[in-house]
Amino acid sequence: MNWLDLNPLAAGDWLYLFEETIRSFSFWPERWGYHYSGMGGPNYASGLVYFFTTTAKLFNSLGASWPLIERLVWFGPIFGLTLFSSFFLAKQLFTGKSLFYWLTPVLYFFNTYFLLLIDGGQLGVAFGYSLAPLILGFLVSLPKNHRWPRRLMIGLAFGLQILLEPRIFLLTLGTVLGYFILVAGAKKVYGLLLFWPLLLALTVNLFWLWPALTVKGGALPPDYGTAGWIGFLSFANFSGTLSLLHPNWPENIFGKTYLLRPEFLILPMLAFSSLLFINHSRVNGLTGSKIKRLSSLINNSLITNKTILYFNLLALLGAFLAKGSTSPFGQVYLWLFDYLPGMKLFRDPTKFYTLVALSYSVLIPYSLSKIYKLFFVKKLTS
Amino acid sequence: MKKQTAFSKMILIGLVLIYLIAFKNFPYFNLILQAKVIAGVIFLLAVCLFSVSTRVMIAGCLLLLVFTGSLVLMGKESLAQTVGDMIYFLLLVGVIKKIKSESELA
Repeated sequence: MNWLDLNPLAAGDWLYLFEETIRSFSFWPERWGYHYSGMGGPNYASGLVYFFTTTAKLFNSLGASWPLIERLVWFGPIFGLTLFSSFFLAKQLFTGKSLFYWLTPVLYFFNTYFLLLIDGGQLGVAFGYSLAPLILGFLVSLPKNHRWPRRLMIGLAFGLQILLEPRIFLLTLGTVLGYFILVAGAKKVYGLLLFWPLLLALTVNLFWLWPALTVKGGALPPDYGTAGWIGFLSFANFSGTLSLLHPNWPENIFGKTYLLRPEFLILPMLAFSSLLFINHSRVNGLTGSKIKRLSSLINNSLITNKTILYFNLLALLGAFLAKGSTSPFGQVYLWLFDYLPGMKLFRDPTKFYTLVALSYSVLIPYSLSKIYKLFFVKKLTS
Repeated sequence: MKKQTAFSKMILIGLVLIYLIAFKNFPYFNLILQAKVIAGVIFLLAVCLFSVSTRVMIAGCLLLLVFTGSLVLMGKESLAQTVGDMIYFLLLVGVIKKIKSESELA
């Protein structure tokens, strides 16, 4: 009930702000300030901090208290956006009146990774996570609808993601590029379609990106890029990442990990069973008006074999990376961390759970719709 | 082709047997559930699965996932971890094989 009344919500990385603290914030972005360490210091996550401080100051000047501000600016939009954007992605992929795409937002919201992001107060990451399916949904439909309002919206969504969580932006961009290369066929036109939204997103973030990348002191804290962090923060193992089970679930005590729970194995079983149905529609093409009418209820014909294979591959990649340096082949992550540009931002490998959540929220409804079609639609028509 | 189908069925029966054995109070239960024995059996299964169709391979992986669940229920978490690692690589090979066959069809 704490969510509905006006008691403060603060846990883990999330702060409680006093009136005096909010009043001391500047409306302008700060590269250095006394808030960022004991004696003052550089502001590394300046995009996120700028959004955090400016919105707090703005709403406070309108008379809102911190408990109200955190609900209006953070918790409310994150919850709404996570549900909406995953539903939007499902609508782009599952055409027709499919009943199963309602499961996509349920799976994307009610998984252990997202719930623990909220519980741990990592709201910047949660914001980035909530935007990822929206961007993917926009881009999946981009070849069909690439008018300028759509491109503007993609640019703004990308821009917001860069501002709040550049790491999830990189994951989303990688996912989108992978989709274009593996599913859409690596056509030059997709690169051109993506160019303007990306340029817009980077331009609106120049105010903090430029100083972060050029001012001496770097964009990252000094010890951030050392591989020693990886072993310290690699809590998850393969069975956990494949089951979309956060290693700290359910208590979310940092460093305290739990054993695998067998009930979570149902998630990879359902997700990967989608591979069994890949050629099903091609081999057993439905005929007859009754079957067609029934199949329209659960129609997901826009999901091609390539799309399913892509999301399977994405889930496997996400599961492999989310376990970090844990065996087997933990050295791969360490090698990537040292040599792949941008990988230094991922000292906490659990960020890759985003890819697993995104894939499973598409694959599980797909599998269930196929299982339903296999057992229920055939029975009705026989 | 017929030979392959019979072979696939044999593998499936083998997997189901392992699963059933895991649940029964088999006299050599502890011996069977030793990590090295399980790893050996799964390695052999993996070799067999490579020679069958991708669909059988994936079905095998899904059955192994069920087996992992039963291992966890029996408190054999480290063993379940080993099996989970192997399932991952089998699935990865399955997906890559599917992608290859899909691109050949295209």
